[in-house]
Amino acid sequence: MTERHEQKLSPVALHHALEEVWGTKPGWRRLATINHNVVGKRFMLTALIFFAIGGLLAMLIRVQLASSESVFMDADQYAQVFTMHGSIMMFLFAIPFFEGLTIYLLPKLLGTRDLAFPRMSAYGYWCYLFGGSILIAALVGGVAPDSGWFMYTPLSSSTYAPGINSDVWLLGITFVEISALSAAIEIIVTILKLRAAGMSLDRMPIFAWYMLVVATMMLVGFPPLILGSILLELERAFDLPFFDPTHGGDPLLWQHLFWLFGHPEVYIIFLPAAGAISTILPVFASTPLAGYRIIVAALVSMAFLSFGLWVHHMYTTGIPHVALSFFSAASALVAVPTAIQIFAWLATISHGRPRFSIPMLHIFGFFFVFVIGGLTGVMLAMVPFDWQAHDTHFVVAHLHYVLVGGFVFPMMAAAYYWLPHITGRQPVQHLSQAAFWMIFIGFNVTFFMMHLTGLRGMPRRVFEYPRESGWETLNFISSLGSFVMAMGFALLALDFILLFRFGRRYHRNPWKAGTLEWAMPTPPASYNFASLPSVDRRADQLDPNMLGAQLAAGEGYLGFLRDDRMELLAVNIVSGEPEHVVRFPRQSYLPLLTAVATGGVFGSLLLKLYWLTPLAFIAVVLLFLCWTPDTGEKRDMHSLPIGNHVEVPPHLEAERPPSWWAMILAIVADATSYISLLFGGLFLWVSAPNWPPAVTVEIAIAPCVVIAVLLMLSALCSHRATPAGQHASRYLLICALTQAASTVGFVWLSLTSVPDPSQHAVAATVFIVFVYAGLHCGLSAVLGGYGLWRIRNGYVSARRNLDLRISNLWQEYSTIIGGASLVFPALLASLANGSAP
Amino acid sequence: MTVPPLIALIASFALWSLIFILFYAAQATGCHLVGGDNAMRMSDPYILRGVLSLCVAVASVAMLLLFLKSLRLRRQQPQQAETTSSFFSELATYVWAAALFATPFCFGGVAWLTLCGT
Repeated sequence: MTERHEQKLSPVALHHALEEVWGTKPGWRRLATINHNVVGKRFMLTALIFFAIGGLLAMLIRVQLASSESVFMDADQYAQVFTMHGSIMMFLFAIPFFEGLTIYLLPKLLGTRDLAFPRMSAYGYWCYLFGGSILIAALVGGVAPDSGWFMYTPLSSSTYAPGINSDVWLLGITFVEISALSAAIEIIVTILKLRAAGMSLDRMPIFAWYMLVVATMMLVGFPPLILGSILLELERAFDLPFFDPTHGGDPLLWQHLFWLFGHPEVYIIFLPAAGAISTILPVFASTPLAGYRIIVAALVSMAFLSFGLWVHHMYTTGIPHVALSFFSAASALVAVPTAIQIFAWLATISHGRPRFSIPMLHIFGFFFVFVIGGLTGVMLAMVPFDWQAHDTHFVVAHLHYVLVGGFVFPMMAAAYYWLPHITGRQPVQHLSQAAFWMIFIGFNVTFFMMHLTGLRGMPRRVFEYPRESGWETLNFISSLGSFVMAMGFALLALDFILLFRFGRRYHRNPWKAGTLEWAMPTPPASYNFASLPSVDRRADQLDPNMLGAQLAAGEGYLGFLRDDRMELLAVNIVSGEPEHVVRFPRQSYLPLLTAVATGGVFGSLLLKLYWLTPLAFIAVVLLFLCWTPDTGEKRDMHSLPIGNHVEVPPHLEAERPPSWWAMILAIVADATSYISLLFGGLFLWVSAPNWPPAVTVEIAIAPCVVIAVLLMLSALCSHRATPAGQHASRYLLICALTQAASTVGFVWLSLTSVPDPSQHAVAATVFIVFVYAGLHCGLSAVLGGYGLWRIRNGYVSARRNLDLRISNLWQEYSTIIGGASLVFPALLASLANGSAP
Repeated sequence: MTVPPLIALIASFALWSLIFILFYAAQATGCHLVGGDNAMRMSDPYILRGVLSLCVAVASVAMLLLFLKSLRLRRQQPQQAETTSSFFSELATYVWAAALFATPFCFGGVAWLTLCGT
């Protein structure tokens, strides 16, 4: 082993040594890179390609609607085009683009070298690429989804959509959402644990607060969608009637699950863009952000409120008035924290001396467009108005004003602001202003007209309209505007290409910002900082020029290379004091291979090769297990020097390292999904027609008691094994065996206690609850066996028992899931049997 | 016992979320139990309205009391202007105030709006 840290290296030698370990290797080995700089850029570039495809589809829509009774497309083609336009823009462009920006930017803003789980970033990227490619391939093949980007049942059910189209959406989007969930966990853990030394939470750059809130929303918002997609796919593939009202299901359950994700999604898209504005605006106003604290409070309030208004997409579905009032009030309230941010930005501009550069022009575009979108949002939050405007082009106009205003304009500002960081070149700006004005004018001409067509009654999602409707002129103007906007985007792309090719080189920090991403050479080295900074004030009021030189000279923490390993510093969540050293795994093809195997799972389901699905799933589990040897150590290290006379333990010997927090967050996401499933069962009991069911679900008590005892024994053994004492192996063996037996028990229950699950939604729900618990117990058994393997191979000691502690978290959680899964079916069955009021 | 600052920050709206779910569930279940498929055509289920209205009042008062208690506790702790604890203290006050306002604002409709009809 090399112990190069003992000798002080020159800045150039340090750069070469770090680059050797952190850098992306040439040729095919690029596929093995896990570096956040590369992965972030790949995300953004791929998202932009999808954006171009989605934009092209939008142009087709506008061509179709430019004139009445158009024969440019037929109804089927139009349905595919508008469905794919929405799906691409929401799932393949907006979310992945800000994920990419965050993956690239966040570690730099926080003063660290990478995200917490770089292999997960790479895995997430491949899942995104493969899942998105499935959707695009379906579009090319003429079998693209055609039930709208929201996939409402029964339109998307097998009765009305018998082809593969809806399956493509359900499986492709779920595949893509793996990347969103993994990114959410990574972002939260990185923000909480991998900040610069001294960066307490109150000193974080405001962008990190935004992303902390957004990632938490993603963690809770995406599981209901994933669950809903799985349930709908199960209905389509195996006739489990969760959404079929003739068998005790309810189409409204899909709407609840979808919008439980779908509305927070709007804020999930808006807030990263708002975070970019809060970062950029103070730089160009030459003054600190006004109202930092109240903005953070507004973000937290907004995050919760945004989950309390999902039904405002469902005002016309026959929900009782009083329930509508809950959601209408929350919809109106959410405007308040949004307005707080707007006023804080205006206050920042008024306090400073603004410089009107290109990013500021796009921020102006944001203000104009987003405020209009926000005001029409408040109009739509009011139930009586929504009843009039629902499903008209007014809503289309509103959502584009919100999403383009709230995301695209800020992201263009962000692109102009941070492209110099990515490329090392400044914009030449010959085309920038023309591009902006074409997009701005084109956008407003396109979408303002839709307010008018909507108010004149034009429904959305219609492929043609009669000549006498009176909508043709407005639609024609709208289509003209869309072509101006498209030319603006083409000009913008050309401007970026020119920037890459002819942009002016600069020394450092071209905008005179006070954030850490500028305290490094640009384009950045793969390791970001040659040594890690320590901050003593808010991290948007630093001096990157001075700090950059000091860090490059190795004067910060970890300004050396140890054992040829990638290392970074973890800190206390609140205070930012150094806590431990995180030692990263090496670069590997495993993320790519695991994503390919994951693609096998989804591909086999899509092609209905169901015999292949379990094999692919086992391959995924095995490949994930292959990730683990590189993360272990076979000796206790106690403490490691990190420079500046400070020593801290390695993460494997720390109490709560990033991977421990990741498991907690994964459990939160999983629990959200499970609770959504239980909510679904109870919702059907309350709301669905054809209850009480003709079939009777009777759960035998004896096997449930046996499974409960097994689960408790397993949890007890896991708990006893965790300190890695003398009998840990024995306890883990019992734990793995009891969990395996519980799995068998749940499979047995699902096969014997439940009548044919295709007969009624109650049977289907109970069946799925058992399967859900069985899967968790099975995974617990695998983790128990994994712990045993780690002990046998010397990866675990009394100090290095992190594997067992993480495993124990899951074991205890799956015991709770198992217990709830034994009680809930009995409860639902008793409610169902006595549900006749 | 000291509450972790991030938990203290989200506690008020976490409580609001719990109240939201409980009210929505209670309203839907109540309507189902009193009228089932006929609930929409029923006359006003006054017992359900009474229970829900009382719950709104209790929840609002409980939020107010918790807010006042947290304010008092914060005032008892000596704090400097620019510390992490003062930061979270100020933030938690803002967020509590927002959640306190949101509770009767969002759920007050149970007192007069149609409970089960559409």
